[in-house]
Amino acid sequence: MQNKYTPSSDRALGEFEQLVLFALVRLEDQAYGLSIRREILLRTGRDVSAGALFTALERFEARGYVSSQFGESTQARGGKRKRYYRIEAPGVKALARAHDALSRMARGLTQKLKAV
Amino acid sequence: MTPRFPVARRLLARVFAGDVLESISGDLDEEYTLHIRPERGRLRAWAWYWRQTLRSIRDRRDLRLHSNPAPDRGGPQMLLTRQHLHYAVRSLRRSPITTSIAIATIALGIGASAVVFSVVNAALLRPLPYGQADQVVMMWESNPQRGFPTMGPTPANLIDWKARSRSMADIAALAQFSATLTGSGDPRRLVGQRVEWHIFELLQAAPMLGRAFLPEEDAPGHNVVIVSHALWVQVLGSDPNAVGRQLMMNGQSRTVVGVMPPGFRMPPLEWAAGQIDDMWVPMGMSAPEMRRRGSHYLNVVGRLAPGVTLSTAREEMKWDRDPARE
Repeated sequence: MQNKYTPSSDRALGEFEQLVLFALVRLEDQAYGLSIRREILLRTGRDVSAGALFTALERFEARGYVSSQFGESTQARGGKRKRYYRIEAPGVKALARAHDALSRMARGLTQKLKAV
Repeated sequence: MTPRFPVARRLLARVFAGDVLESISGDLDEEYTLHIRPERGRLRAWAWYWRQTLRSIRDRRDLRLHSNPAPDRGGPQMLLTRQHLHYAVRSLRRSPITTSIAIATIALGIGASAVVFSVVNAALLRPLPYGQADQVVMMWESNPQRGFPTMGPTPANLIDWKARSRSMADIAALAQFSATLTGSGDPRRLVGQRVEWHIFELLQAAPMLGRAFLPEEDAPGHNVVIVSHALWVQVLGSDPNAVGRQLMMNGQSRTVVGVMPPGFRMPPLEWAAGQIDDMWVPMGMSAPEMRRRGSHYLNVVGRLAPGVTLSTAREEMKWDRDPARE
């Protein structure tokens, strides 16, 4: 049985975490908090809170899945800097593993899922 | 036009710090300024900003609570409890005024309930520690004209009661008595009562060690004592052979003749929540004391005769004192 409390680095990625990592892959060097949230919103309709997003990003960074650096500050941001995120090799590997597992489970079931 | 949400910002600062706080609050400001405010108008944009802020705080707390395990402390279940506790304590410390009021309210509530319960328990719930306790009554004189609805009788009046009453199987008197105990470790103040010898039989309460008083001991000069269970434990060291030992009370040696069982209490029971007797000695009234009609220092317990109801006894005992003997 999967223990909820195994150390997070060994844990399979959750759905929300996969969404975030996919957004990073898509956005390439344009990924910062707002653009990630809008990407997820546009593609999935899910309005992810900034608090949830940054909590996940912090954890990814601690695991070496992503790196970040500060970018420019704009007037619209009230002088606060953007923080850009990049997915790193371990993150890509984890994302591929999670996605792979899901798609293998889903293979050949598209018709059945649509029928319901 | 940068939004001004200082309160929201302060709330965010309670759960996010440093870089993350800057990023979040910058993102919210940017989205508000570039998208939400132009598209939705001032009021709805304001609501949006607050909703985002509160959701962020809630999500942060939820995610932290559930995904920050410290695996070296106890099992998974215990760990969850520790985190919840930690979280609860932190939340309480954040609002000290509310917390203080809550704690004070709970403390007062518990205190008041405990007091009420001790009184109710002693007075109403706990059965009297006597055999056929529903027959046991307290008896009083009454002089409402002088402002004494109930008062203890004088010795001479007690003797009259005993002579005239038909509804009582037995009547026995008690009077307060205290003594200084010496010679058994540190000197100690004992509280108790002088009792008529047959009161234990009246109450149908027998000593667990030794015996009750004998008729001949209820006269001046008989130095015997019956002790409470508590005193037997504290002073006599729960000695099973305590009967026959001597206690030095008020400089006079008294022989222990009996030990009452735990839970026994001597009337009057209005002392239930306060004084608890340590010991009892025989009343031992002298002839002059028996003639006293001026000092109302006795308490009187009676047992209803078989078949007599409380109301019958009340009617029968309602006689006026003979005016000629005033």
